Amino acid sequence: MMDATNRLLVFTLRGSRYAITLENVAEVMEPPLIYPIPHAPHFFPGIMNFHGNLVSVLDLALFLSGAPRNPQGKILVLDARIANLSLWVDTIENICSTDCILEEYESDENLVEKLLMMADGEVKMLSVEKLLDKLEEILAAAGV
Amino acid sequence: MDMSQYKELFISESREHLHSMNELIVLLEKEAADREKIDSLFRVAHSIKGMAASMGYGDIAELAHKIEDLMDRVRKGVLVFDAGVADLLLEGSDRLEAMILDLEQGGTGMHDIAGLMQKISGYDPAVVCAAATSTLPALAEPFPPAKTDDKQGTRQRQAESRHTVRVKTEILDHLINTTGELITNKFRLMNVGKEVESARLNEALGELARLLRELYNSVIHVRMMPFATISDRFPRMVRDLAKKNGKEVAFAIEGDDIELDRGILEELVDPLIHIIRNALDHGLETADERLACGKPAQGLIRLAACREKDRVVIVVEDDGRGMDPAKLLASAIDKGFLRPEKAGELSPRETLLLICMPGFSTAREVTDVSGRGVGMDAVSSTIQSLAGSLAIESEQGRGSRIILKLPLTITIINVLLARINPYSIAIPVTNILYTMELRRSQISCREKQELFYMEDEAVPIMGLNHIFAASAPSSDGEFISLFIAEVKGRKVGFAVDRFLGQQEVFVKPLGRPLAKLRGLAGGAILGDGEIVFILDVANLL
Repeated sequence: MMDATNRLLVFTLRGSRYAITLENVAEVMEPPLIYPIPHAPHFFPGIMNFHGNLVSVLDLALFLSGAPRNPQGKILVLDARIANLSLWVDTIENICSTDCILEEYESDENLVEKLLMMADGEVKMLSVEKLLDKLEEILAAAGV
Repeated sequence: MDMSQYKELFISESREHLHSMNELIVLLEKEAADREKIDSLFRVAHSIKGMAASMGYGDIAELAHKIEDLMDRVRKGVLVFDAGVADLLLEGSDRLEAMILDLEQGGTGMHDIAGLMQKISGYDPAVVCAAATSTLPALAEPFPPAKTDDKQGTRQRQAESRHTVRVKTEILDHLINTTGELITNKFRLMNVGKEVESARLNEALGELARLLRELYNSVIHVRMMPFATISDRFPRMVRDLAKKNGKEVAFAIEGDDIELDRGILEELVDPLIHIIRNALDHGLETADERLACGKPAQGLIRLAACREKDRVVIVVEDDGRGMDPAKLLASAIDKGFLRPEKAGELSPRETLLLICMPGFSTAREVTDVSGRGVGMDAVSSTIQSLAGSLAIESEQGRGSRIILKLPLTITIINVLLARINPYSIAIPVTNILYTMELRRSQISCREKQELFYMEDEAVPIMGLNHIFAASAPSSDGEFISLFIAEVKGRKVGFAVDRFLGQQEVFVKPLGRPLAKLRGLAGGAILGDGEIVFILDVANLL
């Protein structure tokens, strides 16, 4: 069986394709019941009960592009070792091996680690660590 | 034979022995002729030597052997246990600790110990005795034999060990988490019980609640550890600091058998280090200064823990110079923390708490706790995050007292639930001084700040809906719901839409990235599945 570190989960967001290392993902689920978070920025629609743990939900479309989320989207829950965070994305496209990457390019987008050229087009590799750093920076400033 | 599986056990047991070693050395410095302690110290070194030798850690065994030899000379009366012996033993203990740390981090535990071994074995009794006669009473004859021999002690320890087991702390954490989830589910079932209205179900739920209470108490009890777990390190720290600062200090610990949740104990180490260091660095005068103002040359620092109902009170006090409120006020004004016209409004308690304001510590204080980045503001913040409180008492020329009040546990707590539309929030009951329904006519306004009077004290009112940018509360009622809490030494009334009742909740961490949001200490899941946020009252303003 292929190692999760060598596999990418590809998802879509407002017409763009993004990828995240499969090892960083705990689960993909339908949008759950969420509860609002006091004083959180508007791109955090709420928090959910994920198998007994509290996991915040980030509207990734709103955060990255200012466009509202797809209500029929999917929730990508990050591995608990990384964060108590899930990403609300439009659709899940597929899981592919890193062997499918034809070429890699630098990206000038802050939270995109690199651009991956695959047989079926370009995919933006999301930097989870940079995303978390950015969110923490915003939240620290947003508090009471 | 592969001994690697026992490495973890060796490390943990050796650390316990080193802990005892440090404690015994500091005690023996005060009472050099205590035969029982001398024998205990000898046995500790002997145990480390034996364990290390059986594991094949040659260097550790050799150094422990040298320490054992040194103690043997003390046992036989060849050497007096004086400051020189204590220094050598502490150096040896530090080196052993470093070697064990190296092992833990995957190293070999081998260090260059030749110099230290030479120092220990070449220790000259004649020189020591000559020096010691000037400071310590000379011993006319070797120590009398100990009351308990080694074999008896070993048998006693073996008997005790048959009744105890070592449990990994992760298992204890898992136990408390599972118990917390069970309590959450009990409330879920009780909600269902209300809908179903079945006498049999309610009876079973009553029994379940009783059993859960028993389980909870047992699990909490298992997690409890004596205050000594962390206080044991302080005598050594005080001794080293006093030497470094050239001060004479008597350090007393009381209540080291008082038990607290291990989670709280872990969090308390840094704040206590800071408070004790402050007492020694800034509180206590030098011997000359003390003599000049009619005090004994030796200063006193007392660390005491005691139970007060369902709380633990920890006090650190010194008999030093105390704090000067006028200086604190001047410094706060100078640094821009306080407007001069406001200085007169602060009560003596509030004035002393100025030292807990972020950035109040002087550069020197920051240097003293180099690398830690801990100031009194961080101490205060840690205590409040543990749902505790910090108070300061001080009298110029007489000394200072820092009082910490802490809950016994932080994982499962009692909260008051309140509504601030659209949020439900939970306020730890330990943070609440009072709750009240305040008549709107009692509210007055001063400099755009709403306030009311409580026994002549002006209490500002802060709307939580405003703080959390929630919907504005309805303003047509005659009363508003308030809870009064103490924030930075001052009473503050926090207005909510309404109170929902008191409940026990299992506190869950918010984790990355939400933990960065100030004002929230965690979350909890209620019986109906709703998620509520637990207020971090200390950091609301």
